[in-house]
Amino acid sequence: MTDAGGPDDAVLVSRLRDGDEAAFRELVGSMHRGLLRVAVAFVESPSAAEEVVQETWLAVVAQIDGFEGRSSLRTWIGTILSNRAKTRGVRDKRSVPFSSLTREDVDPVEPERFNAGGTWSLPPARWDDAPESLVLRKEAREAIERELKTLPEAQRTVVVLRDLEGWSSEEVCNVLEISETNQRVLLHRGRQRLRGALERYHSGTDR
Amino acid sequence: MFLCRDACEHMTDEREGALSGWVGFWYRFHLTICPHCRACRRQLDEAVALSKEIPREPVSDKVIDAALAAFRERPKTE
Repeated sequence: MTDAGGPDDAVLVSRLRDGDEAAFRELVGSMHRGLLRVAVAFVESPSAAEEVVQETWLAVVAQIDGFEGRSSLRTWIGTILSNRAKTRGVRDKRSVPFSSLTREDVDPVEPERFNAGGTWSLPPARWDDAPESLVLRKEAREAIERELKTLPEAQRTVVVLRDLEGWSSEEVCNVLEISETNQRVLLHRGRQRLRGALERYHSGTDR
Repeated sequence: MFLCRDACEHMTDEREGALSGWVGFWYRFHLTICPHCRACRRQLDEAVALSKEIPREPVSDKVIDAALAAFRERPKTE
């Protein structure tokens, strides 16, 4: 799958090659959390993930002149990271390919809400439109945030990269080495779980 | 026949522009006649919108400083 970098990447890479510290700071600030999320899926501990991401930044600095723009900058950096994280995972005896994490994460969401005929037996609880008050919106967001932390690893990784970090589906597929279909299934399962959390929040049954 | 369970399974496909042909047709038709599935899709949209608003922890100065130190030491491109 190709996701060649656009003009924004070309400008950013040019600034990086010119030694523009503000550009590099911007890059680290925008990508570090996403890279950490990917690393956590491959290695055994958060501290190992931090180390792998730090090593990745050093590799990016050393190799930026070799970036050819055949993929987006995000994919290029993400692939450096995932290769390093996999190597570290093998070294730490946690050599679990991401694709194997996805197998247990694809069960249908809330099958008990449908009857044998496939129609709703327990339809979604209705609520008024999106909360307008900032306080209620913050509470709803916090309900989502709590649920996000409970998602299975593969779902959480895909949802965080797509919806919180703004990665494209191509970037996620290339870096995690999963198919487009698999990525969509994980994203859908994760988002439906978040929708369920929002439903519980609005119906007052949130924990 | 396209069921509510099927419609729910295709909601992210729709958002991702991955629904086409007869599946896309029956999905859209189903949503026009099913208020529960329309509610489910609205709620899914709201969950995604709220996810995007979750505040991200800033990257620590320690991390940025370590990366910047390496960046300052790299040889300049001619």
